[in-house]
Amino acid sequence: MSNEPLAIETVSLGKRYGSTWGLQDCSIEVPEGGISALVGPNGAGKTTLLRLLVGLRRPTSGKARVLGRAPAQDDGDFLASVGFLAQDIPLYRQLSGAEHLRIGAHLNCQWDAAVAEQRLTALRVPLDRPVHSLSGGQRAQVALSLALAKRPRVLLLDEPLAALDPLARREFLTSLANVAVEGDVTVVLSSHLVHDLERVCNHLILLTASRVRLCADIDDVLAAHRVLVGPRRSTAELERLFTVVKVTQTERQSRVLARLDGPVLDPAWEESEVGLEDIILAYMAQDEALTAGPLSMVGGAG
Amino acid sequence: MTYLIWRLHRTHAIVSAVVIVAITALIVPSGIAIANSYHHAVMNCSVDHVGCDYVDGTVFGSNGIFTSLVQDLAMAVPLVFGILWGAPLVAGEFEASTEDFAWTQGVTRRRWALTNLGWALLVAAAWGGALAALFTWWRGPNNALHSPVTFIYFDVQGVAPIAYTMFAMALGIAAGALFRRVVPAITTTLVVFVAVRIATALYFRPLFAVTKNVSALAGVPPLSYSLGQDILGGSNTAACKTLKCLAAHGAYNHISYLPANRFWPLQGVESGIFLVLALALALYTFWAVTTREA
Repeated sequence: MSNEPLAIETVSLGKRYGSTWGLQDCSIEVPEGGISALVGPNGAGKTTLLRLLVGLRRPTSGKARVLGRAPAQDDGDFLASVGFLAQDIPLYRQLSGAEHLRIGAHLNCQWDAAVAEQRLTALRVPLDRPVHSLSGGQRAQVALSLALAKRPRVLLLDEPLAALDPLARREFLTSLANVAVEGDVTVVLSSHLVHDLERVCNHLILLTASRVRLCADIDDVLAAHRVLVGPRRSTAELERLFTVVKVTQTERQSRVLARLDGPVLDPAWEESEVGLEDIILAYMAQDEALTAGPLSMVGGAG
Repeated sequence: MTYLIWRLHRTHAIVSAVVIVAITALIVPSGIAIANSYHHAVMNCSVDHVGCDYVDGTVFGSNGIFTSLVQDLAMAVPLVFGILWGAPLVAGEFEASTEDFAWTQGVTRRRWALTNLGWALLVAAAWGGALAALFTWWRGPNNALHSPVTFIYFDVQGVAPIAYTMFAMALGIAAGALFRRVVPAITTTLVVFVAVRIATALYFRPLFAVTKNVSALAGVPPLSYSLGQDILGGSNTAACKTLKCLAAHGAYNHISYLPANRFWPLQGVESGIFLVLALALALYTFWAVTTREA
């Protein structure tokens, strides 16, 4: 693909829990810099992928590289280069933000306490109170500041927005966008709140049912996907040429969401742009349809 | 790393220190009182030949319940450590998911495991040692009157309590690393600790017993712990009603006992066993923490 340096690369990465696969045949490439949105329905394998990337879990098959290293928790250099914010923002409940910062300073060779303190003070997060008494948004900001104080080159965030109200969510994403602009850091952020991510992310990884459906720059995703509307007809020809994601047939009209690899020559189809959320939802719906029963159309992986 | 451990276990450490002070405050006056009354009783017996048969009663008569309470307390201390401090050490991290935080900082899991285990076992040894020293001092007069190798008396003094405490701590931590839940870890610690302690006391210590035949008129030597006596042998003993009669008819006493002078060898061996168990559990914990997935 591209010659850009890769922050994250996985090849056929798979993780099995007992007899079910949490993640299967996952091959992704995340270029350095920017913010990647890791999107997918609940149980799609987002958490599994992130935990494999930080070394908390080990792959059943395939391999992962983060900044050229295999994730391993006996590798101090690896740990130093990766920041991780786990699901549900685990912190020591009874300890304050300031104490967490002090702990971080003791646990990391590289620690930027001043920046973390400034961030939290600017956000008016009380540093002297036990974190369990903070609001969800404040806790998330404490955790983000802790992850950032490590000055990681890759920052993995697992559903940091889930517990936040819309305002806190916006503040959190703004913080994150600033971080990505300021620093030499690659962020991967998992969420099922597609709408929020579009604003700050430049790269998309879409997982559904333990598999990768898309992994590309959001601009490229938007450029490649089109809605085609025309008089009601068979979509067989389109399916032969392109990757059809979703077909909606009404009495008089056919509406097709497809990934186009070339121009649509048939003038009967009227082409229009489509939003990221619609693209993602179409892939998710396709997957549900596939699990519900066989369907004529088959989507391609990204 | 050590700061993290201190900050997370500060409350435990302070509470344990307070408990030690409280136990000391409870035991020291009683120890002094017991020592005083013991010296009085011995003095009366040796100088005035009064009350020689009642030294025990004079010293402990009014203190019996308190004495046994103190001993029960001393027996329970290691277990309390294992349950309240050891069991939540790893399991508590998993219950709160904080291992996701701790294990993704710049510290390898190997170092996290070693530092935690090191401090936990060191603290167990220090606390266990402090209490063992206290109880050993307190039991001084008692050892002059009752066998120190007796079950419970043996278990609260000397160096063995240090090993018991380290074992309980390592057991709690290992159970927590196995189940990753606090309650099952506590239950396992409780059951396994009690079972192993009882098994060693009942089945291992008797291996050190002396077994021999003595006159039917004799019993086990003073200050030894009797494990069994049986009048055996002799002929035409059916009509005998006294030991003297049995002895005259050739019967003998088959005795089995732990002599008082086996106190230290037994303490050494039992400490060794529990230290090895503690070490094995610590190794398991190290393995579980560094190789199991989170």
